[in-house]
Amino acid sequence: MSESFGRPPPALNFLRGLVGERHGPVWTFMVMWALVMLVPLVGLVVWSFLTIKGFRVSFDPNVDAYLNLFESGRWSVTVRTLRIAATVTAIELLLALPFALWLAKGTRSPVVRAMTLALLTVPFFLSVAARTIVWRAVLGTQGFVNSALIWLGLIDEPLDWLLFSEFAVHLGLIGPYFPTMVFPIFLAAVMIDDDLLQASRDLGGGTLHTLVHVILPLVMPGIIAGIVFTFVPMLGADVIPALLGGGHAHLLGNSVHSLLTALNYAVASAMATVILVAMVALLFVLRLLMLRLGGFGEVFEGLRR
Amino acid sequence: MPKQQKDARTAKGRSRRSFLKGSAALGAAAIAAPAILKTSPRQARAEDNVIRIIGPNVIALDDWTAFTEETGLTVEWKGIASDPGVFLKEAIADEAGEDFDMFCFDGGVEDRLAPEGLIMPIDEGAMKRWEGVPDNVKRSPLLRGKDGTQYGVPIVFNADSFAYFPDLIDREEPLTYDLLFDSEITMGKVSLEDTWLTSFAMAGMYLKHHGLATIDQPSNMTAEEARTTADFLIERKNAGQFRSLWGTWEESIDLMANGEVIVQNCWEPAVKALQRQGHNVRYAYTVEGYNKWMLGAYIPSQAAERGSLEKIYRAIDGFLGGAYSAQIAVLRGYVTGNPQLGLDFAKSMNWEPEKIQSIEDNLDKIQNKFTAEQFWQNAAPDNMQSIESEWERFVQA
Repeated sequence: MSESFGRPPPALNFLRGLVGERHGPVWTFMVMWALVMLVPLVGLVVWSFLTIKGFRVSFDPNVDAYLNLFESGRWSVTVRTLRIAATVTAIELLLALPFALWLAKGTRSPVVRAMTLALLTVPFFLSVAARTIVWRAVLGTQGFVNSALIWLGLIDEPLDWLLFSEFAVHLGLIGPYFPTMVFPIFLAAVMIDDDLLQASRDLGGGTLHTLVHVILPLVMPGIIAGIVFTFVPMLGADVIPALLGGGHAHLLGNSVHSLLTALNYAVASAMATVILVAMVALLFVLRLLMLRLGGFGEVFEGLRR
Repeated sequence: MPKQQKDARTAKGRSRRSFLKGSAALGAAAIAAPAILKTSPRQARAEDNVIRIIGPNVIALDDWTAFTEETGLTVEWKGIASDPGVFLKEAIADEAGEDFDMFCFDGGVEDRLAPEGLIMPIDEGAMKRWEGVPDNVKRSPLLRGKDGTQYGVPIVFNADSFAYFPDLIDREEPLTYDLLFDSEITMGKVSLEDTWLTSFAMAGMYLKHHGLATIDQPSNMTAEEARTTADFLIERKNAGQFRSLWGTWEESIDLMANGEVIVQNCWEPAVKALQRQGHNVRYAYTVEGYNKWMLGAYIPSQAAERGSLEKIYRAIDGFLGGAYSAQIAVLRGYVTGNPQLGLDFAKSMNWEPEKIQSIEDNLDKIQNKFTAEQFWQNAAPDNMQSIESEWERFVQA
């Protein structure tokens, strides 16, 4: 009797297996998380199968909302969003990897490193709209770039694809989503023991060899976390495509906003559900990759240093 | 835009609201979950001399001193986007009637709010200046329910068309909307407002007027008519007619100020702002007609329970009076229910001649534009979801 009384429930055992002995806070967190995150998500999926008119729900499950996704071009906006987010994420990775490695290992000055990290947080203090609108003055037909190119005699007519185009949206997305790629890679890179790099050199490994066979495997958890933290939020970007796409590159966020002006919650939920499924699939694939590298927890090892 | 904070809901308040009928509306309440989580500063009260209004900022005055002198009421204004979806969300899901004495929403919205019991019919005898408002204004379908009940009082109205640079478009007014939708001279230099509410209906009006499509009511299209209109717009988009879509009126000002576009359907205040910046921009007189709209005052049903009706009607009389009329005419080019009172007010206060001139121009404009036929803007068309869906097909094309 007393034994079974002291035995924790199986679910707790499972959690304990995941995170160790300190289960009190974990329980609290999991319950809160389920309430705040999971319940609305389940609601979202349920609504996508209902008809909602003027805030009234009719309980007559149907797939009309999903059919509407195909009829109104909303399927293509889903595909376009995934494509642009993937492209920009790849560009971010190419830019952020060398930058993060330099920040973690290249500079020995704590001042430079602290300043750079602080500068990377600056975008979080400015509104996206305020930062994005500046691109218009740079990319517009009367803008800085076109004026410069015309003055240099390289073009006769302004290039109109610089602004209100997919090009402009790609460009506009790069800045705001750069820090979320840099931080995890930096955290993974900063924890690499310098002795390992020295050992590689002592054993005759060149720079490229050390990069590919020592550094990259060790920062891989950071790279994968960076991809998740950059790609997933970008799927919801709405301000930048609205300001720089000019109706030629609307993304999911804009489409959902438009649906809300017509109180069409069912189709909005269906779009969100499609994206949700895509994200879960992505996380599943990345998790499989991560298992080979020690799991997602590795990403945060760097914080202990 | 800042969201208003909401008071914690009491059990009494919950049971009172007629539209919360069972789980159906609870579903809607959960969609608006953030509203429930918000906590509280204040609830609208009857006894004080503050009138709490929710409506678009563009019709709020910079300075309410004269209004306060006239009515004895201090104005607290909560600005929201001018968007039918936003109005309905505020009124239905966020229960704005609990916190505000007056809604200033786009006319047409009463067809949605009245059946829910959220707004009350207007007591025409409670206002001193109601008689002075011309019938063709106050009896607009935009202010009355489908059964003809008067639910709204006109605050401001206008007839919208498009802005253009006369220096670049060498044509005599009245102009036609081909400059907006189908013209070589404006190819790639047009911006449309990013909403079906105005742009789609204007396209429908253009097609109807020129016999290019069979459309009965441009602002209340059938699904089939909406499809035809979207097909036309997609064809024009692919031809390169449109440079961009604009979302906020600051954006619309910017697009013309830096020469990115030379024509756009926009609000008259944007034209006023551009003129103040020194640009030679005109707001077109047109052949086909105008997007005639109205922002009305609506009284939330909760106001009667609070005993606030007396001060609400006093405030409405203020909006129908001279001080508000004169100021909003100069500031935005908008017209009120009694524009003549605005002119009288400006003269009695010895305003500068330019301001008086702009009020007189405004009166002429209304004579001209409001006699034109065509459509009243409609924030609640019968086939709203089909229309939005077709508009989105154009945007995604």
